[in-house]
Amino acid sequence: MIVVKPLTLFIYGLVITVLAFIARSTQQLLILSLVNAPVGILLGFRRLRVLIILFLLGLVGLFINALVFANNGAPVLDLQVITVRDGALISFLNVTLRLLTILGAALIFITQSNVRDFIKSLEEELGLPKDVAYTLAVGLRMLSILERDAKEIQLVRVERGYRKYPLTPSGVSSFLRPLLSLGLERAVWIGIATELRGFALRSLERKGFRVGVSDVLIYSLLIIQCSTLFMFH
Amino acid sequence: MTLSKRFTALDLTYLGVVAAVSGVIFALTWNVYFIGSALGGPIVARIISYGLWFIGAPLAATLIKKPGTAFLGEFLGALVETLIPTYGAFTNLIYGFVQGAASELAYLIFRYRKFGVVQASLSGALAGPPCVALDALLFGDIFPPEVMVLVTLAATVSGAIYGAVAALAVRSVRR
Repeated sequence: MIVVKPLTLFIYGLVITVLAFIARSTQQLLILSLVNAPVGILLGFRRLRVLIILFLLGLVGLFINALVFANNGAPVLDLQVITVRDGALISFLNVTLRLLTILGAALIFITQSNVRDFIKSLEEELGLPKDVAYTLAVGLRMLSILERDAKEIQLVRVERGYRKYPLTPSGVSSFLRPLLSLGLERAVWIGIATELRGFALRSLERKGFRVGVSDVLIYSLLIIQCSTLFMFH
Repeated sequence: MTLSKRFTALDLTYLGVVAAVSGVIFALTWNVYFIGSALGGPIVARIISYGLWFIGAPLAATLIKKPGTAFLGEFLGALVETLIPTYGAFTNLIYGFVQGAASELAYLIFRYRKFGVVQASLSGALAGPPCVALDALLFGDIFPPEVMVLVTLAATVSGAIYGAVAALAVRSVRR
């Protein structure tokens, strides 16, 4: 079984995302999406199928957007109500391939890495300051707790006859205040405990940036995909 | 000078909570955006949702009241959102970085001496134009000129409103 470091997957995902925006031609985007999207969707479908399905549904909106704002060029399909032109189809295809690439890269990272190991490697190998690493660790630990609090707040809002998702500033305020209050109350005690345990005196041994065989394979794949930018224009 | 000389462990824990709260709000805002987009198009979508995506900065700065907190509140919130994950994936990091830097300017202008509602509102508003610019650059959201002006205005106004909401929420909780 190939085990890749979380930091490698993070760098891979970030660079692929940037590549997806730099790439302008359909051929470049096709290569990037064919490499990343199937792998990401296959790995992520079990755990994140809702996100993937929402993404696919969002493509309908993208197509409508392309029809409204980029429907120029030679006619391709005459639906009597509207004529679909090649400009709209190319625009839709390029945006779809770009988003598929980004989604695939993100799913590969999310499904194959552990968040705690990721923060640890950011700190030990990339030299992320311990304060930022601690803040991230607290934030991610609190996330599941706050998500549960947010769901409870939504439930109470619905029971009281309000919308589940606040759409107005007063609605957002009524959602934000209890969430913040609960989070800050926990933060006070966590912060005091951290301070008492000598957080300010904590020092960390930096291990430097290391790569294994599997990391080299991932970086090689990344370099090959970067080279596609020079192959097609 | 290391960050811990300016930030206590309590400040950093608060920042972590703000990052988590912001991450949750950012993730939920995608639904608000899609609802607004379906009901009213790009301008309505931005009016009701974009300010929510800028809320990390005024929230952190109003709470902790130290230099750099606006940027960190927004960027770390975006990082948490990336790890949830959401529709935007790694692009959230790019947006978080740019929006955070823009929002930080609102407090820098006042030399980090004021962290009130006005500053929070300004920090939310300043994140609007770069966000719209990123939409155009990264996702090709380029509309006719008059629509672009309205879209930018919508994002800016939304940012100003929700910046004020964030500051008032922090005040009511800290009382």
